[in-house]
Amino acid sequence: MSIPVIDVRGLQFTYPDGTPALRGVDFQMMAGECVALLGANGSGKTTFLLHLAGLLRGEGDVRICGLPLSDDTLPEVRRSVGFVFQDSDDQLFMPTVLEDVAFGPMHQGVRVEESMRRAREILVTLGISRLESRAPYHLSAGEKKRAALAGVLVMKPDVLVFDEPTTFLDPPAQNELAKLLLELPQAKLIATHDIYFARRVANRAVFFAGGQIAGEGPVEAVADRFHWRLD
Amino acid sequence: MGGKMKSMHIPDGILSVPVWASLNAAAIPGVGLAIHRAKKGISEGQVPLLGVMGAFVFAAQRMNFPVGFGTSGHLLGGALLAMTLGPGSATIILTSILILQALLFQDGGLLALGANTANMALIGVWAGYLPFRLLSNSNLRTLGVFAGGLLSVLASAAAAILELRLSGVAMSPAVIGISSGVFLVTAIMEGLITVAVLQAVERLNPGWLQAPRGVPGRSAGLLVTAALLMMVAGVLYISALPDGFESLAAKIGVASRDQIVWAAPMPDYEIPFLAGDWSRKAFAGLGGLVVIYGICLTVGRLLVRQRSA
Amino acid sequence: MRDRAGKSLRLEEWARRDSILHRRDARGKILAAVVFLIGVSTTPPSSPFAFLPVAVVLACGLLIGRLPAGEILLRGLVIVPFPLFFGLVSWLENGNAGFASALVTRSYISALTVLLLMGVTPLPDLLRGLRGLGVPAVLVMVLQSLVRYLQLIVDHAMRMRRAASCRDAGVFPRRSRQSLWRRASGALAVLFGRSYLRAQGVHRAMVARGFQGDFVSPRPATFAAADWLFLAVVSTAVVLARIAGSVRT
Repeated sequence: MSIPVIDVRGLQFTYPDGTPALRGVDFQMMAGECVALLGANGSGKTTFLLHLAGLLRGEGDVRICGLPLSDDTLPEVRRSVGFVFQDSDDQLFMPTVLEDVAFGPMHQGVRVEESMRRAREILVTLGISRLESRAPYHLSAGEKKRAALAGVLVMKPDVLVFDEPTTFLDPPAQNELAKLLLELPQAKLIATHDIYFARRVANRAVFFAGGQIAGEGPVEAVADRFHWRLD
Repeated sequence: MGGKMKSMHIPDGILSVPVWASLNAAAIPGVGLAIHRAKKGISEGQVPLLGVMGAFVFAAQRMNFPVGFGTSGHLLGGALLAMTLGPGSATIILTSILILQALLFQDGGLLALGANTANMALIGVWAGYLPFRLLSNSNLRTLGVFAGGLLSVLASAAAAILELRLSGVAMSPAVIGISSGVFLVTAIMEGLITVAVLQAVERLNPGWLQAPRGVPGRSAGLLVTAALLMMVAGVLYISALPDGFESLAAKIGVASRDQIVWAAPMPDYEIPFLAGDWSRKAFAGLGGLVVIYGICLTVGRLLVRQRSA
Repeated sequence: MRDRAGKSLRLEEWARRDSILHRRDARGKILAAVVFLIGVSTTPPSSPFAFLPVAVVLACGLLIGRLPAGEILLRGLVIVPFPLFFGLVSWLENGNAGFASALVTRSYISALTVLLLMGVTPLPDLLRGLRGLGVPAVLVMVLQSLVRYLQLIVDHAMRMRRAASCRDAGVFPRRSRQSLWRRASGALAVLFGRSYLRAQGVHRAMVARGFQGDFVSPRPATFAAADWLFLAVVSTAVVLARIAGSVRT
């Protein structure tokens, strides 16, 4: 039996203002899996995802590829977990796409020239090398999402974490993203409201309610059980 | 004229060489100190915050507040930034804004960047911060906020007028009077808007305010505020006196000597490039600037090395 | 604001063109611009033609940089009111017309110089150049994120203004000044909060990608022989123009 890429046990978290956000979450995910995270707004999906990259620290045990999350392992965990945020504008903060993609490796001690080379390579792989010297502000939502993904993939992560990836995308761009995700070999955890997108890319779904996992199983079954679809 | 007078971004070509050179020499270490303090005292999350708040100030300047008589004013922001994020952060944000305004919109010159930074990002910020800090824990807090907004504009404007006068721009008492009136109205507006916006921000989420709010050395703060007020009054008073500045400037040796009247052409040719009195001073000023630049670069490097060691 | 955004877009468009000046290192161009501005600033108004030589140097720059001279000359006029006002005030006070007109001429030429610099240098390169000249990394990063989020925040402010004017169209036919004040300050407070949250999001994304508090900036490219030559040519031209300009006729 191989080690799960994500292994979370008894995770609890309360915001400083006293609002409980996670009340004992147990979750495992294996390499190659693609899991959809469903649930209402405020059910704790985003809070849960933030714990995986050590951006929030609650009580409980979080292991990424067997590595327990602690101050010492934080840099390695953050390399291993590629976090794609809901708003690409938060993520693309450098003046040009190339510099943005190279930001990750550069700040992990990779030499500047090597970081740039890796960044160019990823842009070619994702088919957006034409955007290299463009400013993020002028990109379309789909291009932004791809550029943000490039900035994450360049760190060679073991697991990709997406927070509402389809929010700002039009249907063709959603389609492109789904195709791209199906091609990527990494394990993927996707928090989304878009049940059609989830059905297309994920092979399993987990349903969050009140800061806990209320149920899991095949996407269709979970959606039926929680009446999680448009009529 | 109104818009330009309000913001007082001095373009290049107006200040005399000794004035802009010495103000660059003063502003560079001033901003350097603010950066050093900011790096030491605040969390790493600050850099995007400073940049985004700079963008906020740009946007806020598009939001109109009705004054009456069909006119409106807008926030300048120096005092508000100092009160919400602290004076060090405010200095860095305003310096960045001034650099971009000079580059993208020719609002303020490049050689005059030191002067504009000194006026708005250093003098304006501290003049806005001190009254606030002084009264922040008393029941006169709102007055402190208003006084901060008011003083930040007045002190910046007074400094700008002082620099123009030292550069040989003559102004009649009437002009000084009218400009002071315009500045006073702008300053009162700034005070009122700062109060309104700060209160609204506090109602929304007090957690957004980062400036330290402890009790400062009260007497020191009072002294500095009093000094600022006297400076504003003094500049306006001396400026209004006929010849007040020419004699003062001549005494401290910064007057610009290039006031040659065309009507009296010299009969002979001369090349005063390196001979004239003014140019020697100009080059002394430039030399000083280069030395300051070198010192700042060296000190900066040393500090960085110390931090990483 | 739309007008201003258009202005900076125009600069961006020029900066993406190609010429000998466009290809020079940004540090060299910044230094050359400063040298030129110092030349302008120290030229005494000894005759009506004192500024002709520096103007010729500037015109050569515009020509070599393949920039639309007419448009730049027009755009430079935005700064004229300031020196014009103080020039007139000063002239009325002491009757020194030479000094007054020198203020206007110097300011105008200086503004054109900055336009030329920005017209041949893309802003991101220019900011990297500033870093290369010793401007602290923190200030350059703040400048970069200011530029990055400027349009985003301004757009947001515009949307809020539109929404506000839709909401009360016709409802309060005579809005009191007090309610307008309250609304404007409330809107600014919301914008302040939005900006604050945006900054938090950006910081979170930086940390998630391994940022630990110290910026790594790419080592600047070497200052090539051509860049040294460029700087030397500009400096020489400025010195010559400066001498020519101070010959009293």
